[in-house]
Amino acid sequence: MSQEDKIPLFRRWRSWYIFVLLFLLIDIIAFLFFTQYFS
Amino acid sequence: MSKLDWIVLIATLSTIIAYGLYRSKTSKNLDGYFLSNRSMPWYLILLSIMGTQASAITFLSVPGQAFSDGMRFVQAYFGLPMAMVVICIFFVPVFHKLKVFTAYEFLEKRFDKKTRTFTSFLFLLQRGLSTGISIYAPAIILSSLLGWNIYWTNIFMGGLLIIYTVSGGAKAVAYTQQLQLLIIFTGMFIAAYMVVHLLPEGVGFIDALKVSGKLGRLNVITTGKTSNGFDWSDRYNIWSGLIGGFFLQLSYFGADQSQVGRYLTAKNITESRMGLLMNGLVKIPMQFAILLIGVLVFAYYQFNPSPVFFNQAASEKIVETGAQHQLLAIEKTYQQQSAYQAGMVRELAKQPENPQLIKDIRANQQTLEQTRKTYKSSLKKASPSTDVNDTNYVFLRFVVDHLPQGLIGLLIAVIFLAGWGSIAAALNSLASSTMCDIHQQFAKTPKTPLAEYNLSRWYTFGWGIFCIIVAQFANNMGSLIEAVNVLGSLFYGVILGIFLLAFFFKYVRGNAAFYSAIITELIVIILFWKSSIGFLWLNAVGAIVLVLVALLLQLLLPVSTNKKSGINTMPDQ
Repeated sequence: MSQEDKIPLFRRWRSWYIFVLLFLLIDIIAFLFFTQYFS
Repeated sequence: MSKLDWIVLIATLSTIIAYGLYRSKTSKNLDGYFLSNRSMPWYLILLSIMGTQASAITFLSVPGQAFSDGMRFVQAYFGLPMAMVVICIFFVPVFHKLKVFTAYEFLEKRFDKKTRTFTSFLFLLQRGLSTGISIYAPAIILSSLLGWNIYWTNIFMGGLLIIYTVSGGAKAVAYTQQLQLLIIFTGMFIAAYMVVHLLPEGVGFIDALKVSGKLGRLNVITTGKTSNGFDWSDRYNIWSGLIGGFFLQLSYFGADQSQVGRYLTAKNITESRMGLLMNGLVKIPMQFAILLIGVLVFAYYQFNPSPVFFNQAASEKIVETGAQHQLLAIEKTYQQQSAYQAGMVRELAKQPENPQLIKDIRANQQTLEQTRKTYKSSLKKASPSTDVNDTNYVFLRFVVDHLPQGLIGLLIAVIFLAGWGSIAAALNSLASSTMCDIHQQFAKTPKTPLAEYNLSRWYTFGWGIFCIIVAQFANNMGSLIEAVNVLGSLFYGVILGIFLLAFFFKYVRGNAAFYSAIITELIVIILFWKSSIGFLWLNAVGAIVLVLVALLLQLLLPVSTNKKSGINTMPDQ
């Protein structure tokens, strides 16, 4: 693997993609609780 | 504005221009001017992407949007992280491997010259017009606050950023965006702190949220469901955000040169991907935070009397005596209702779960909103040319009325810098598309790299002038952030559809792509014109219809007349 291909934090890009999508899911769940808590 | 505010404002803006000129040194060819010699690290790509997307409109309209409609606007960004992932997998590797200058250059390699030209034309039209609105947005602040002539303010606003954009191209744009965002985040953080600080004694951040929540302003997640089923005309709900927003963001980041041009400046694929993925992580929390400032301003005006209409300058223009008396009478009624509301809300802070009090506050809130509507309709009647949508004025009016000297200047500078960041990137991309997608395709004599570089600077300057002219006609557009998104949605679906064909439907060739694009653009315009469908859906409709029409046309058109694509658009893993 060349220097250019070295991926920060994770070994594969796929892990990064899953991480970003999980983060979106966490955002939505947190917002859902936020909405319900303050309504 | 005080002398101190002027000093802060002028010093901040001058610093940005000086920094932009200092960072203007590039190699005198298209690679240096438009792509910064492909040398940028991921964090500069991230800041540049964010600085391009977050315009003055973001910081003007979004808090106002939260004030009047609550936080559900954040859902429009739910599709963004998914779009970032798709772009990283499919778009980035192809753009980097082909070493394209613009996204549309890829379309010629994949389809043909006419498809490239048509798509770049749609981009130039859409981006040129929406950049005009982006110039107008901060200009209304100055004209409204200081009584300046809006036309001269537009010229002043657009002219200053052209200096460093023409001079330094993509490199100056990226470096100034870095400094701009630093100042913007600092300014917005201080503004949020000040709103909480200005709340009555004993009322804190959480109390402000509770009051806003009880009055329906913390509606972050909405489903769009009504008693009659799903409301397709509802602009912001989780589904329009996830699906429509995904198509909008995919089109914006994958097929709009103002964004593609930012991540093409990256050193390599890894740096581009990291910048985009980080954007996928931070964008939603950032929008949430800006909306939260609007909610805090809303809470402030629950504890304190609020203006009946936030664009004071517009109502002061009414000189006809009868109308003036009527407006003053409505204003007086509103002030009484507002003071009554403030008393009840202060009581609610002491006993937050009192059901009768909550009921009374909600009822009075409806009365307040009705009075505001009456005021606006009377104002419109007295002065039909007045824009009675005051969403964009809410935050600024609060800043000017309640923040201390110096901070007002800083917050106005924040609005300017946010505007400059996105306008500068747009001018750079408009020039790159004009130069690479139009000029180089149709120019009869080839030019030297230096001549192309000089011509590109002239194109940047020319687009700057064009956008200022558009800004002069941008009045009466209501919420400006919506105007930009609506305008984008008219064209983005089709542009995205062409790119989806290019990446995922290998057997579709140039003619089918080109004619389906024209047919679909007409369908999208008719849908927007004749139906009440929410604009976010137009992105999805445009892209899907285009793909279907192209597949159908490809069956009907003879394959021999089309160019065969030799480009591998599948991702490397």
